[in-house]
Amino acid sequence: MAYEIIMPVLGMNQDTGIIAAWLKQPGDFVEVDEPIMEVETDKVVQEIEAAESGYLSIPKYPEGAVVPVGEVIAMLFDTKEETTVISDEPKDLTKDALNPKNEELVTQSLKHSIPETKTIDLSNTEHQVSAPPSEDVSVLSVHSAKILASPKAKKTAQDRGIKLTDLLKQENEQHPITFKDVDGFVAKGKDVNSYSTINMYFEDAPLSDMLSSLAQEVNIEAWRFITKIILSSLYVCDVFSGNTFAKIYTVSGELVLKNEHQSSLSADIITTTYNKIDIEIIDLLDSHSISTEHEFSAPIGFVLTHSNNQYKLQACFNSTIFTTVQMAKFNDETTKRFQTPLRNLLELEA
Amino acid sequence: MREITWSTAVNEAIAEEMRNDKTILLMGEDVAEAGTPFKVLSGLVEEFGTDRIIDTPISEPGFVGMAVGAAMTGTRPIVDLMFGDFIFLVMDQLANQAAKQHYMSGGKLNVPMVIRTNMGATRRSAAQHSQSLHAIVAHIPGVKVLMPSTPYEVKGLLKAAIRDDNPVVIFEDKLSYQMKGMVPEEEYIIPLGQANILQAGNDITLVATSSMVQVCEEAAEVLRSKNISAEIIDVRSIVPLDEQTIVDSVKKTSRVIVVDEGHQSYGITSEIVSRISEQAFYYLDAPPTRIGAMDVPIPFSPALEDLTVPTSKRVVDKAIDLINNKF
Repeated sequence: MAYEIIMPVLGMNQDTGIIAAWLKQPGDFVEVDEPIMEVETDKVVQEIEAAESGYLSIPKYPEGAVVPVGEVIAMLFDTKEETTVISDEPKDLTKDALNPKNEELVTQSLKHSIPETKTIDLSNTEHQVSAPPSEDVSVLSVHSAKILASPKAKKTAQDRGIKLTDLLKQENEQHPITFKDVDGFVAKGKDVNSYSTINMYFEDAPLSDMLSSLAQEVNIEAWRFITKIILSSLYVCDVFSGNTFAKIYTVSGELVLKNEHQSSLSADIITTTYNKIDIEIIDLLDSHSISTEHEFSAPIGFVLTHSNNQYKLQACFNSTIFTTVQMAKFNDETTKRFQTPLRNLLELEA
Repeated sequence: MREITWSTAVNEAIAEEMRNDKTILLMGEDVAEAGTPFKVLSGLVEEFGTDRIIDTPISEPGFVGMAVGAAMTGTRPIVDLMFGDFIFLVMDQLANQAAKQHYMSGGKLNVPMVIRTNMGATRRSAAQHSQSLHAIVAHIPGVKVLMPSTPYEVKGLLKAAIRDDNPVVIFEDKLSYQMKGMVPEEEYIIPLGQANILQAGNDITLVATSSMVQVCEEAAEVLRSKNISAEIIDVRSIVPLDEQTIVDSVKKTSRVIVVDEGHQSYGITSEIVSRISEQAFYYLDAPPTRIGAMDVPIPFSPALEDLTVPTSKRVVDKAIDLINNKF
């Protein structure tokens, strides 16, 4: 993921700003809210803080340059390596990203980097796995706008690793997002008519095996939309709806969606080896201290539902992408075990 | 328990305390034979005599000044200020003298004085006899401010005020003097600084002072019929303020309306909402909201006067909006 740093509008009649000073060097890691540069207008000199964290690129303009407002001045990248590449025309990358040629390249690099991963083409299944690219672009553009949400909703979303931008896709934008919207988020995603189902059968399989199979079976298209997940918490909650009982496990801090634009900016990100992923899921679920800095690609949550004596484990990749594991053949003991929180279950196995 | 009026509860509180403590005096305009224009103090002069129930000249700064001096020299005066609107006349004695003596004398002097006064509109008393000015007093450090809501509350709080060693101003709604309520026969006091959760609820907290407690009770009744469960908190004393009870309630319900009869701007509602914002910010699912009296002089016209004060309908409408995310 890369973020643009633009010349801010600090005054009512401001057309340009002067970069008075760079407070960070190219390649430096910048925290959110850390001053990154000083911008001078005809009225003030103001420190500008980073809206996102990341490694600072080589700036497009030096100190003293007069830059029109809204112009991209520099970028913030996830890795230090990316910063060595000068992003000479960041805006053109958008065009590149939408260029079919470029897309092909991305797909190639994907296939090249993960030869062992079993790929299932879900285009023939009844539901579309991934949201159409156009929709994702709109989500990302919303990201920069102010999202109206109550403090409680924001806090809950942050704690559960739900992005408010994902909520906007489903909720009525007329009203501010409230706690109810965030709380019902995972359950609601289930109803969205855009998840796919992969049926996998297990006979009393250990959960670790199941998750590992799940990770392999997941369509590569789904993974393509997830570049980074920062795990912050494990949530377990009970949901009752009619005679259906569901336990929802949400394992996620931050889900970073990626569209064609980002993939062209940092194609390297998606070269994660997916075989490793499931191991990391297990490790994280098993550990008591869940690191907020741990980065990996994995489902953001699991939904275990029980209805008509059938157990279903659904992996949630974002609000609209679900993968279902049918667990029809579990014996009683497994059934019992699945009713305990995931973490306890893993401890029992260990 | 028996049912008595507000006036009787006040009368009992003063009489009981005066019997227990010979240093307690009561002074004010028409407090002796007349028993105040509201007849709240009738009968006290017969029991305690004119040495302890003192009719004063019509000079509020004068007799409040006397009371401050008397309090500093060993008595415990209760001052009857006929209308809350007259608080402006006594502000120097109250704010500059009474409130600061303990601090400025290094703790050597106390001013154990109680000012009994009133507040509240809709009595058709026009702009100079209808104001609710408790916020002006509450702004001054060193004075305690009480706002009882029922006969039970006024008796318990007034007795606590008389026993307190600091200046205390108790604002009674002038429309409440004939209100009836259950009051125990045995003695009790209500400690200052403890809010009262009148009714538990989960969807929204209604924080109320004085007669706004009844307004909120009516509102909660209407909300209940719409399946909205409201929690009602009677603040009781605005100085000291029981912040914790209010904040804890808002943390539970995530929504709050603060209702007070003072003018809305720069008032008690603003203060309480501000503290909620500071301490329960991440629990709020809707903007913390307040309803006060309109920022206008109270009109004499009954039709207009009724429009200026908070009503249960306004509370209900606001609560429904907050719950339906219309903000």
